[in-house]
Amino acid sequence: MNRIVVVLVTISACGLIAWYATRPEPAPPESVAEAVGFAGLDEELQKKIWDREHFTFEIEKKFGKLFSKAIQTSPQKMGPLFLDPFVGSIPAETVGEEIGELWWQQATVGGGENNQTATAAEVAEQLVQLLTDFKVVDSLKLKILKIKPTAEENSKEHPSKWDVDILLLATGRRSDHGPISLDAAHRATLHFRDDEDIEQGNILAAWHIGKSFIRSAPEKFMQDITAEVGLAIGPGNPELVLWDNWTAETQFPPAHYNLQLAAADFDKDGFVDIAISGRRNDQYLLRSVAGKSFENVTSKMGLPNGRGRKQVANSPMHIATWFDYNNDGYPDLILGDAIYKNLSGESFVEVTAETGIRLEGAIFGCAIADFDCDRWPDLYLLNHGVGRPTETNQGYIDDAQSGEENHLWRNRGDGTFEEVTATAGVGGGLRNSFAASWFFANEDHYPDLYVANDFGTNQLYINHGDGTFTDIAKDAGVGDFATSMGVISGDLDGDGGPEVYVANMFSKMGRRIIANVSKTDYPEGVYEQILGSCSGNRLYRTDLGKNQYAEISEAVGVNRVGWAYAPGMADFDADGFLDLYAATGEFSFDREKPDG
Amino acid sequence: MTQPLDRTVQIKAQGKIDHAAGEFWVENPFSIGQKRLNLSAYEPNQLFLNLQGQGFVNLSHASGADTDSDSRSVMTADFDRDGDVDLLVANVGGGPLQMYRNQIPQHHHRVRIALEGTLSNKLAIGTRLIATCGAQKIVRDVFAPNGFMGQSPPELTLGVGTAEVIDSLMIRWPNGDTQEFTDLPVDCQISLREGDEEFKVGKLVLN
Repeated sequence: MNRIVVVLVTISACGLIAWYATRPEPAPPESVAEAVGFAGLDEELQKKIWDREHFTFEIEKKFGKLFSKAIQTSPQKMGPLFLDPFVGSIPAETVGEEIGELWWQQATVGGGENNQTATAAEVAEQLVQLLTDFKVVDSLKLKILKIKPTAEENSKEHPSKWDVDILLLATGRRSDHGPISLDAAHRATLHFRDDEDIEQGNILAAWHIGKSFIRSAPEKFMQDITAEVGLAIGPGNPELVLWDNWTAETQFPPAHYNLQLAAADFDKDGFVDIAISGRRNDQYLLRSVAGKSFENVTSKMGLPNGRGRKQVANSPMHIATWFDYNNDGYPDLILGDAIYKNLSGESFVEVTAETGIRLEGAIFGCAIADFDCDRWPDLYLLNHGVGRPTETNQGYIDDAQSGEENHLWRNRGDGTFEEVTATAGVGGGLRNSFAASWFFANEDHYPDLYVANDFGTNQLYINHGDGTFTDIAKDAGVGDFATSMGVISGDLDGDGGPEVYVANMFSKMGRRIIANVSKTDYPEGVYEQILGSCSGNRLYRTDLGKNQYAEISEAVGVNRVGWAYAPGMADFDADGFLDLYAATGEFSFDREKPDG
Repeated sequence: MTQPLDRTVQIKAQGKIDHAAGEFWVENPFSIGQKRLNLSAYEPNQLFLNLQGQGFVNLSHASGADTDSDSRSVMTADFDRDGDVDLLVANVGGGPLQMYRNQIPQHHHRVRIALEGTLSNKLAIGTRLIATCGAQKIVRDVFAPNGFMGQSPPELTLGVGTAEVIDSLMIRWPNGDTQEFTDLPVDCQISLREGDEEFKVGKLVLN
C-alpha cells in the first residue's frame, strides 16, 4: 500500500479545505476506508473541530460585524465589546516605520518585541487609529487564523475562553482617492459560552496589537484596460465569446479550468499577440493591433475555432503554447489538440501528424526549452491524468498513483520528434502535473526542470547534459507534498541562483484545524501532508549551484495568497529585481455568503 | 471530519448549522463547486514588490491588480510596448480576461533585449544574461514561462534601476557559448545576434 493522503474536511463559513473533482463520480465509499486502513479522526476530535469551526463562523460573521462598525466609528463605540477585567497590550512606539516611493507607501505599526500593557480604552484608541488614513472604508473583515481554548480551559469539555489569532483586513480610499489597505495580525482572548454571547459582542477578554501594515498609493499603478483593448466579454463584443462561471447559465456546471492562453509576437510586428484555447470548444488567435486593441484573426490565419476536438475526461484537450520548433523565428502554435506551423506570420498549417508528437491522454499543458542544447526546441508535455482507481480503492487520491506520466519530446531538427521520456527519466511518476518550469538550477547551461503536481510531491530534475535527468527534489528541500498548482522561477535576490515560487493552497480553515490536531491523530506522514496543503505558496530560496533550498515564503510574506493558481515574476518597477504576482480564487458565487 | 483523500466520501454534519447566517455544509467536499457554493471565494490576486532583494511589500490593493475574480493564469509581457511589463490575467469567473497596463512612473532605466540565436535556437530560449551596473548584478534567464495555463513570451525588458549605462553584459547562449559587451546604453532596444561582434540599438518604446 502506498502512503495515503488523509485530509481534514470540515464545515465552516468558508467551505472546505477541499479538493476538487475533475473526473467522473467514482464508486462506493466503503472500500476506501478499508483500503487505506483509516476510517477518519477520532469522533470526539471531529466534534471538537466542528464546534471550533462553527464558533469561527459566528465570530467572523456576527462579532465581526459589530467590530467593523465600531472600529470605523470611535474608540468609545468599541467600549461595549471589551470585558472587565481586560488584558491588553499596544506597541511601545506609537510611530511606525514608513517606507515607500512616490507611487506607493507603507507604514508599519507594532510587531516589535516590546508591547506595553494597555487598558481597553487604549487598545480601542490604537485600533481606531489604524484607520486614520482611510477617508472611506470599502471593506473591513475580521478573520480567525487560529482558535484554541486557553491553557487553563484546555481540558474542559465545553471551554468558554479562547485564544485566537486574528487577521484584520481592510480596503478603502485615502483623502486623495488613492487606494489604501490595512493588513494586521493581532491576538485576542475571547470569552463566550454560546452563539448568543458572540452575537451580543461583549466578549473581548484580551487584545494584543500585533504587526499592522497600512499600504497605499496616490493612484492604482496597474490600470485595468480590458475593455479599452477589446478583451472584455459581453454583448458588446460578439467577436469574442468565452465562458464565465459568474454569468453562465446555471444549468451548466461551473468550470474548474477553462481557458489556456499563450502570448507571443507571432507575426514579428513588435507587438505581443494572444492565443486562447477554451474547454468549451472556443479557440482564438487575437492579433495585437499596435498594443491598442486585439483583432480576431483565427479563421483568417487558417486556424479552426476548436469544435470537434478530442474529448478527454469529459472535456476537449485545450493546449495553448507558442513553440518555434522549426527555428524560423516565427513561433509555431499548439492550439487545442493540434500543432500548427506558422508560415511567416501570414497563416498556419496543421502539422500534428508530421511531427510525430502524440497529443494523447489528458495533456494539460506544455513547457518548452532546448533541453539538450542542440539548437532545436524540445517539448515537455504535462499529463494531468485521469486517475488510477484500483479494485480496492476507487475514490482516493494517492501521490504517485494519482495521474499519468508526463512526456518529453526531443526535436530531431527535421520537423519530427522522438519521445525520450524513459531514457531521460523525467516522467514525474503517475501524478497530476499542473505546471513545469525550465530554469537553471546549477551553473551549467543545460536547463533543469521543476514539476508542480496536484495531490503529490513535486520534482526537481537536474539535467546532466547527456540526455538524462535526476530528481533531487527531496534532498534539495523542494519536494514537499503541497497540492501545487503552478510554478515560476527567477533570481529574486541578484545572486545568480534562481528562486522557485510554487503556487499552493493557503487555507485559513486548514490552519485552524491543524492547530487543533497532532501528528499522532493520523497514520504516519499524513499530518505533514495536510500541513503542506494549507500553508500557502512556497518560495524556495537558493544560492547558485548549491542545490539546497530554504523555504522562506512566510518569513517574507508571500505565502498567504489563497487557493492559488498561476504565479508570475516580472520586474514591474524596473529596479533590477523581479517582483511577484500571484493569481488566486477557486469558486465565487455569492458575495453575501462566507468567502473562505 | 477527516477522511482519506477520497472523492466519494460523505461526511455527516456534527452539530447545528446556522443557515440563517449563511453557514453551510456539504457532505461530499468534491461536490461543493458543482453545488455553486463559495469555495475560497473572492480572493484578491496578490502583487508583491521586491525590495531590492531584501524582502517584499504586499502592494496588491495599491496596485489595483487585486481582482477578486476566480483567477487561473497570469502572463507578463510589454503588451503596449512602452518599455515596462504589463499583466494579462485569465479567469474562470468574473470576466474571462483582464489586462493591466503598468502605470508606474518609470524613473528607472530600462533596456529591451532582443536576442537572435544562430548556433542556438532562433528565439534564444535558454539564454542567461548577466548585466553589471556599478555594484548591481542582474541575472535574467530567457524562457517562455508558463506558471499555470498561460505562457508568457520569451522577451526581456531589463530594468536597471538608476544606472545610466550597463557597464557589462555577459550573454551565455543556449549552446553554452558566451559573449561579453561593455558600456551599453539604456532606454533603448538592444538587438544581439549570436556570434556578431556588434549590437544594434533601436527604440525602447514603439507607441
